[in-house]
Amino acid sequence: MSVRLVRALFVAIAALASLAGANPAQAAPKLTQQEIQALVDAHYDEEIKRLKLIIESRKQDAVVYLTGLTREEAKKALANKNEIAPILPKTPPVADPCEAPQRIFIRRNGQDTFQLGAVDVPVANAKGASASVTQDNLTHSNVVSINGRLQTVVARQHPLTRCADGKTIAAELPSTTLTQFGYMIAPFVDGQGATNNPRRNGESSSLQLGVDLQLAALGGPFINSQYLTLSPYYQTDFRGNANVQGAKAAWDFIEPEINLGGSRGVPNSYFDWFWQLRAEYDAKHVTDPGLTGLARSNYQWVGGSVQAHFTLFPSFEKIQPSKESLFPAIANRIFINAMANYYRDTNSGRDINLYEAELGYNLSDDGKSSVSIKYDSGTDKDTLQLMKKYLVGLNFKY
Amino acid sequence: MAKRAAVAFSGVRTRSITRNEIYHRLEWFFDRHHDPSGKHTIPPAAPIAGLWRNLPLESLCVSMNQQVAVIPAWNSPLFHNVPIPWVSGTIPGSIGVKDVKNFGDLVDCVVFAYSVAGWNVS
Repeated sequence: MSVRLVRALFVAIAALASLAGANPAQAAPKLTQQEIQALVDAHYDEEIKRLKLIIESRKQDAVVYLTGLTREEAKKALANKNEIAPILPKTPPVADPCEAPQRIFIRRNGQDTFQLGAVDVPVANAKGASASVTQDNLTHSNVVSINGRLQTVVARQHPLTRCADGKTIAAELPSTTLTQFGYMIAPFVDGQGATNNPRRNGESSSLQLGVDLQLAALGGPFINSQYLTLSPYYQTDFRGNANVQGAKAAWDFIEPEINLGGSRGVPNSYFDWFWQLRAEYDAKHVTDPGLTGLARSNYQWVGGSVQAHFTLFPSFEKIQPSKESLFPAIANRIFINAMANYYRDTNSGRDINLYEAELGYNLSDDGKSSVSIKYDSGTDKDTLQLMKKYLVGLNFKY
Repeated sequence: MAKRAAVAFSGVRTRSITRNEIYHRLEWFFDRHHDPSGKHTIPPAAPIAGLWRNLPLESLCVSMNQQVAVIPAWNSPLFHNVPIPWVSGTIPGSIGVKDVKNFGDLVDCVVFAYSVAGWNVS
């Protein structure tokens, strides 16, 4: 009796243990490749059914359309895709490698467009131009404010696509060890600032006309991509009073392995981040400062800017569905941007700094609209105005 | 008589790789925590803009072509130094990095690159 009782006890304990350790994923057997194949076939059978329905209705339309024609006329119509459109293209559409994807850009400033010579900055990642007109009926005054840049690419040679007369001229296999070069020539008009009517004290604006001569260097032993841009320009103000001649040289870098220029792959659960680095030299000769805020002098600014961008609690929904966001309700919503500029005028020995910090919340999933609070502290290089201000803003990108 | 050393004529040997392994290698490229013998975690429909955020596609092409270090998990360079093409259509139907829209496109692109380089992809 006692032996039976002990055995029963063991069986019960074993059963409980197996229940406690039961894992639904372990309990369900893994499918074989054939079984997976059958599931995929079933999935695509549904697609085939839907396509068949579309083809059947297209055929009926074609019969209606072609009824009454001779054999020759009907054959000719069937061969003409403008009359009887194919459901699937015979060959997948491939972008022409020799054709520039975009020639005209409207953006916020030069940093918004620096990769023009290679692949363009996606609109979703660009800042976009802004313009506003304010009419005050109490003070009978108007204010026009512009922060934008219009740029057009007149010549380009992509580093990885050798083209001549609209045709590729070499095998399109990038070198694994050598740096490959391309160039881009793009005139621009860049306006930053505001103008008042009637004119007020402290009005400051900058209107630059120039050309970006950009050299893109891709690959090589040291860094993924580099963009060196030389930009001679003529600067005035919005009233056309100022007369400034200058030339700017900028050096931008991309290295995905250290998140420089952007971030790669699957981020960690807490934040996604990347940073940007730009070295800059800007020489100006001010013949007439007008309303630019500059002094009648020569400037030779040497310095650069570093920016860091953070997105808290990234979403993995599209890139790795098996991984859950830490806080799904606010995934990809909260962002933090920080920026520091430093320049030294080698003529006068003057140092200027500008710091900016921004905390924001994306109102839409795609990040095209957001609210943010921004803090600026320091001096802007192009207007030499000292700032210390908070800004709460509603931002849109298109 | 001295015993001769075995000679491997690697230049004429056909090398083989599976599409599954290429898929794993690409997953490892985007996720260094990826288990090369585990489950696939990045779906074919994953948008490339989600995996290569804020970066131009040409830097993806350069980065893939720069993966020459030996990866311990496979004891070989990540893509075996096979040149990954930038432009599509160099051979009809082929896809280059320039026209990649999602992870599945990138797998197709790399499979094509291996085939062109003389590999047998099964």
